[in-house]
Amino acid sequence: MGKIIGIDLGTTNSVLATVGVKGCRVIQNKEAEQMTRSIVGIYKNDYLVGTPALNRWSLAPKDTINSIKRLMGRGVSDPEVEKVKSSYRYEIMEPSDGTRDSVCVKLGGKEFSPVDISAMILKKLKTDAQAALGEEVTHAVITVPAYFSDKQVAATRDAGRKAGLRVMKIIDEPSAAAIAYNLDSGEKDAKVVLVYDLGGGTFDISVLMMTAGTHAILNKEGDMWLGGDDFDKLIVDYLTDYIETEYRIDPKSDDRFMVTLKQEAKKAKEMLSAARAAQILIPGLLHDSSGNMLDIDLEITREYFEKKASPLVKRTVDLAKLAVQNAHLNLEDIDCVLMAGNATCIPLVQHAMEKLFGSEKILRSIHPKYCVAMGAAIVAASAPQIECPECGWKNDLTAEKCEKCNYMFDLDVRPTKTCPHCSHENDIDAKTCSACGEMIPLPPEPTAPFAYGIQTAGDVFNVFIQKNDKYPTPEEERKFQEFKTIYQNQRSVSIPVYGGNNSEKASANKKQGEASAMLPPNLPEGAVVRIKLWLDADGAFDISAQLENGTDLQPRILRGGKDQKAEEKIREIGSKIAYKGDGIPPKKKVILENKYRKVIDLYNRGDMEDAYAFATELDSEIDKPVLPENGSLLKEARGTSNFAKYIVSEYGWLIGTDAYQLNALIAELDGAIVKTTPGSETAAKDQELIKEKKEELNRALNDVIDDNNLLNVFLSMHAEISSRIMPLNPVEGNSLTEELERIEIEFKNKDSAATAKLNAFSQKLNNKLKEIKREPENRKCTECGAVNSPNATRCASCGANLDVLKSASIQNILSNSFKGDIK
Amino acid sequence: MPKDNDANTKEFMAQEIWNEFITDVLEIIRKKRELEQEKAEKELETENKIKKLLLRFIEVSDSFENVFKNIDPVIGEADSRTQSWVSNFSTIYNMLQRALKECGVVPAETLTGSKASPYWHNVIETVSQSGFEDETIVEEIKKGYLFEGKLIRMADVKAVRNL
Repeated sequence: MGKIIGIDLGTTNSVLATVGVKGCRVIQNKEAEQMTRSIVGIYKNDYLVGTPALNRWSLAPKDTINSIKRLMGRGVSDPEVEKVKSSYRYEIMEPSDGTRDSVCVKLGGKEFSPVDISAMILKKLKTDAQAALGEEVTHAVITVPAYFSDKQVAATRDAGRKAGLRVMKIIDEPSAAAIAYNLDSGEKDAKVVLVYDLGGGTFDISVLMMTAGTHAILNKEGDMWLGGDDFDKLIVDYLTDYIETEYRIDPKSDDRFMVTLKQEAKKAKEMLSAARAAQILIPGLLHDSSGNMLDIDLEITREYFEKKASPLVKRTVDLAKLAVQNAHLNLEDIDCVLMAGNATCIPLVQHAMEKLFGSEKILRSIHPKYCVAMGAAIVAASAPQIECPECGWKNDLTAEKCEKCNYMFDLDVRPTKTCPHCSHENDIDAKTCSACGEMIPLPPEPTAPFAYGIQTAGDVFNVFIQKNDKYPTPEEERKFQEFKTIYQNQRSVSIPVYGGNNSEKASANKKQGEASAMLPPNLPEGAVVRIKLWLDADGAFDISAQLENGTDLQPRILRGGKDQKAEEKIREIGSKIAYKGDGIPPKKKVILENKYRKVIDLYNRGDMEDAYAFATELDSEIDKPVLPENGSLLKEARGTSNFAKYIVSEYGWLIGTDAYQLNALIAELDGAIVKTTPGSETAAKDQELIKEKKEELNRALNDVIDDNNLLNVFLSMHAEISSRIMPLNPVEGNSLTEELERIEIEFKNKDSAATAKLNAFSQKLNNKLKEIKREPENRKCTECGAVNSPNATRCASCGANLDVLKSASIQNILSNSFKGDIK
Repeated sequence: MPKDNDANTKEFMAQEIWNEFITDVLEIIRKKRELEQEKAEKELETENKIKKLLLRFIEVSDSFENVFKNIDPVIGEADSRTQSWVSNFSTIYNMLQRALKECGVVPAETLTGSKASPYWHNVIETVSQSGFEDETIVEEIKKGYLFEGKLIRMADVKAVRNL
């Protein structure tokens, strides 16, 4: 994995940042600038981004695309698109390929979507970051305005993907600024933060609530057509007015002078942030009406500038008030104000905010030009995970699809199709090429890009789907292949699915995923497991598995690391409980077994994270030694009382009048328990009484059980099922318990067949127990031959999965190795 | 089994020493990287400050050139005193150019008649001129400059754009 960066993808300028060993820093672009102009142009069939594109603006204004961010995710009828159309000279139109609800721009005679143009900007940023960092950049967090719709966010994500970046997260700009200021540090007290972002061409104001490391946007306002450029224009207008009045000439007609004037105006604006006055010097560029050379030497004071700028600042102040009001807050409720965007360096802007909120609330320790990019970089570095755009789940950086909802990250870009006539990339739904106008033939039916198969012991690649097979796989072509278990009593089976064209070794292909199925207990070695693998309409694999007798094994496809971890842990603890067997005290065994069932439930419900957490907790509980209970007399007494109550209530029909005696003794013991007062003078005496009553009840219970063979049998059977079968196979344990309870009812109802049924059940149970009693065998790895412990799920030597299947026959292996076709 | 216990203790201590050693090595590597980055950042910051300063002086030089460009056609008509002043200013301009050269700053040559390159030329003015191809530079408005062989300012040029 390469470097991770944060990108502030701005309307006018974009900024790159990264977190290094010395903290967060801004990365310079190839032109040694800290901000890259978000402009794209074309030169000799090559696309230019940033300053080089700006340099050609006057030569090719129609082929210079700027402010593309304003068009992201918008349709042609959007009023914002109309505004952009009237402000810039490049062509904006509805895509000619018939794609609806979108716009495209023309560059070099070809149509490009706003996503394409943004991707070009992001690609340049990525390349420049790689050059500056000396390492490949693979992942990024990109910022978008808080007002961006889902469609616009998705478009930005697509642009990142097209630029060759794995977009870890799209974060809104105000939140990024707050993160840069460490306002999300996890303080429990809620903070209300106002982010005042005055960029080059846009103004955004957001009210955020931050608490315990999370945040929510309470309200956002803004003006998409107000920014630092408007403040520059004030100075330019002042100077042109002065020249017109003073020298009676129109400087606006002199392009050369106007370019210099704009540069000087920007410098003067920046200078006025630190000084009371700024001098504008432009010698020798203008001539008066008599042809005399004019030297422009003019001082502009901050006072004058502020007077001119105050309407603009007032507009921002009004919007700030509106933002607070619409968040249903008062100005005093704002805890701090963050200034983002270069134009917030203007003292008038700062004073206005200080006046509105109080100077102590204005935070300005980070340069407003860079704080958004820095926040993005911090997010990227502090949580290096890919956030699923569908469900928000945080996945590993290497994940290709969401571990929770299966969303394909690699497919989150709208696919394109290439024009066979001119090779132009068109939208997937395009009927005609947007570049050459030729008809694009309909795409052929989708086909598998490579062969799909499963890995079995010995790294054999068992192919189910051949390369170029059409998908979805037709029902009649979904055929079962037979495999065999490797061990006796193999309890689970892993089915690693690979895709590729190497028919000899599965691992030489790319792993596509893994499925897992739980097997019933006591299957012999070589038990047949039938597997079917096919591709669905989206080209994703699906799998089904059954035993030879048709029992559906309901294999679960593991979607990434968390499923895998949970599944392995469950298998491990299942084996542990079974193999530790009699070493666990019965009481603890029942508790463990119940918890194990809960883990299985969570797993079956797909709550992998909870299943794993619970299984881990259970694992440590299994290993925990059973400590003698201190001062447990009361507990023991209550336990005896409860057990006696259980016998009376469940088997009263069986023990007859003994129930009365037990009930009397229970009452005496319970009475003694209630009477006891810990710490009192009589405590010792009370304890003696409890002990006496407990032993008395115990003796009576033992007598009742000893005298009643049937009761003895029932209780023994329940104990065996819950302590020895349940941990290994909860489903079977439950079914045996239910069967025994049915037999008990039959006895209660004096059913004549009950005895025969109990005998049969006893035989069945004994057989099950005999099978379990067999000493577990060590597991030999099919990959490296290493011998592993009986409950190992992975080879300790080479890490290979020990629960794979083996090919059913040598023909199977041969057909895969030499022909690659076994269907 | 006292012998076994002894062996276990020794193994444990060896492991502890090894862990400490590894921790120290990692700390040294981390510090080294930190210092390297700090040094690189300081160098970059210094370089940026130098460039900024040089660009300010280049702007002064631009202004001299603008003035001379306007004076040159009429200087012959001026009196000797004015001509002397202009000559003095020309010397000051040459001093400035020499100082820049000594600092490693030299003008980047722009050939009129060649095509404007977006990496070297900022086209700030266009002109329609028959007989010339689009993008042909017809005038250098502001010189471009190199600092130690690297471009620090592009040349502003006027280029042909036939509508």
